[in-house]
Amino acid sequence: MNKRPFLNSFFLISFILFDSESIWSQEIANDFNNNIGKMYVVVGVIVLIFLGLVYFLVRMDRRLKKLEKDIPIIKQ
Amino acid sequence: MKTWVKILAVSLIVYSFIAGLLVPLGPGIKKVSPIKVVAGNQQILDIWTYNTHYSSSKPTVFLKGEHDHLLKATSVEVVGDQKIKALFNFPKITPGTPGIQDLTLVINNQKDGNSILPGALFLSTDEVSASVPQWIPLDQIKLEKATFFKFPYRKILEETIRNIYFHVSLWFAMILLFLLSMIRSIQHLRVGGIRFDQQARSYAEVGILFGMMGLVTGMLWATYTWGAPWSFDIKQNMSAVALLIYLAYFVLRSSIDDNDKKSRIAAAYNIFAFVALIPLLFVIPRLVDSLHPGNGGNPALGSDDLDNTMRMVFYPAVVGWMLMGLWMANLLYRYHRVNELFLEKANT
Amino acid sequence: MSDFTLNQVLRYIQKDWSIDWKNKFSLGGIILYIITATFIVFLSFSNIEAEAWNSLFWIILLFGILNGVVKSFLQESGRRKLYYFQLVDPYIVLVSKVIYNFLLTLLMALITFALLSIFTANMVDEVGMFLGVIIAGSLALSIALTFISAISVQGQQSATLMAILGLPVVIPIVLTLVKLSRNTMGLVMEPTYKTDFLILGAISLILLGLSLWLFPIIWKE
Repeated sequence: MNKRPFLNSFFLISFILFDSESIWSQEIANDFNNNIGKMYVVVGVIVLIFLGLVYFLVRMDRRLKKLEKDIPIIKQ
Repeated sequence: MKTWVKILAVSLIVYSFIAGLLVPLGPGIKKVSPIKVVAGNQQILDIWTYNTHYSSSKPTVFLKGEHDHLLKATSVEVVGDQKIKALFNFPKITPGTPGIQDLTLVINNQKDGNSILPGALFLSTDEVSASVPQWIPLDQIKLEKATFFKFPYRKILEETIRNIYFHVSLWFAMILLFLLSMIRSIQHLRVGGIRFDQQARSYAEVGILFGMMGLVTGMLWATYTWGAPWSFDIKQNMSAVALLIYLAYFVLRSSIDDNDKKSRIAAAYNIFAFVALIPLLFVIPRLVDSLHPGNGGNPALGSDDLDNTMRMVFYPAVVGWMLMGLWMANLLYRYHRVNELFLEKANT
Repeated sequence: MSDFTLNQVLRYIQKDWSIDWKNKFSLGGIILYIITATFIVFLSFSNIEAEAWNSLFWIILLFGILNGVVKSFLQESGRRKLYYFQLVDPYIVLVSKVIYNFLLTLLMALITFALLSIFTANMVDEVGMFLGVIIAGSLALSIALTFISAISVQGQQSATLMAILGLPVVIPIVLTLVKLSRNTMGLVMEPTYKTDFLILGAISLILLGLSLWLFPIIWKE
């Protein structure tokens, strides 16, 4: 049973980014790389923070759903 | 929780995102070739720079030696916006001490101001003298100053210097959350009442989330600057241990069934663990060399790794993320309280 | 009055010792564990270096202590605990447990040191200093782990809980100890005994104070 799918996707995405290192940091002469100065790392960090917040939302959502499901029991 | 706190949290974070991403990086020198020169020779230097505009604003190139004496390049050829070739005539006699001297490369133009690379060249020289006509003292040279907001350029770090606002502020927020969690635990033991325990728990939960985010973003950043996601840096290890301690806190909670007993035992462990964490986070890292700034020698971050422009974004970001954490913990706490009330009602 | 309390502590320690002595399984089990562990080290390393020797020493010892200390509150469950709870002050229980665990840890450390020296080789240059490190380390570890074991017996699987709760908490202590004992083996250029002992002492003192404050609450449960 996978209890934390979002945590896993966290790592998955970070690993995809880690893996692409070989493509990015080849030579200083690479014009594109030279011009953006590792800006993609900043983008990656922001995306990861956003995913963390989404993880919080999803967990909150699940807990509230469970609470809502149980509430009719009181009403009976 | 007051509404204005939430608004403040969001606006501070939005400000830190906008300012942290839009403010340009200052000009910088990426690479120089060759790096060894001998006095008395002529030498063409290939210079690669970053974030400069040499096609539209012609640069002057200097080499700074000992006692603040500068040697001006005899001619400069602009190859592109970010690449130049500079011809230097090194006189036979050099000011300073004989042997190998460390030269700093300074490029100046009207549009970008100064770009400086310390330790750019090694000059080997035999004959020295106090004053040499080609080497001009620093105070006799007029350097253009650029006046605009910019973040400092650092070798290796480059644009990722912006990550300070996002990665570091997460850690600050995490420490605040763990501290509040411990204070709530103390209150729980002193005053009693399940409210404090639920608050302590909520703070710890959000603290763990922030810690995880800090760890993962740090690993990503480290991959591109230190070369590996995990460099066995003392601060990395210590923060991983901190997360382990707080994960253990939740394991402990889930292993006790009785609610009253659970809350008291967990509060006791929380206090004990936080105090055990203090040497981990604040004492031991100070005694050991670290890749992180503020400890051992680190080539990526110099002495002024947080200049005034950066402070104007960094402190708001820290406060913003702290308030954001409080808000998230508040949400969790309200959920736990409703859940508790509901369970009580359902049981009676 | 103070004489009386000291007497009580001594009596409590004596009681613990007699229980451990009666069912020899518990004490013998830990010592057997240490012997086996050192023997495995001896078998698996044909030529051990000082760095590895050092970390193995502390790892063997750490797990031995975890096994030994977890028992200290386990035996006092149910009716027997109720009996002591009414009879003895919680501070006396804690202090005597800490002292008992300290002696136990010290014994285990000495046995591990002796066995490792016999089986492999004695890597320590300054034996006197190393013994000092062992004593300070036993004290710090027993203070931290006694409290953790008092917490972990409240949960369901106390042995597992003990490892989960205890290991992260003692990491700063163990790191300092490893650093200190590296000093005694001449692996460090400039020995830093003073700051390290100071850190160790500060950690022990703070943890002891905290335990004294928090233990009565746990003991009540």
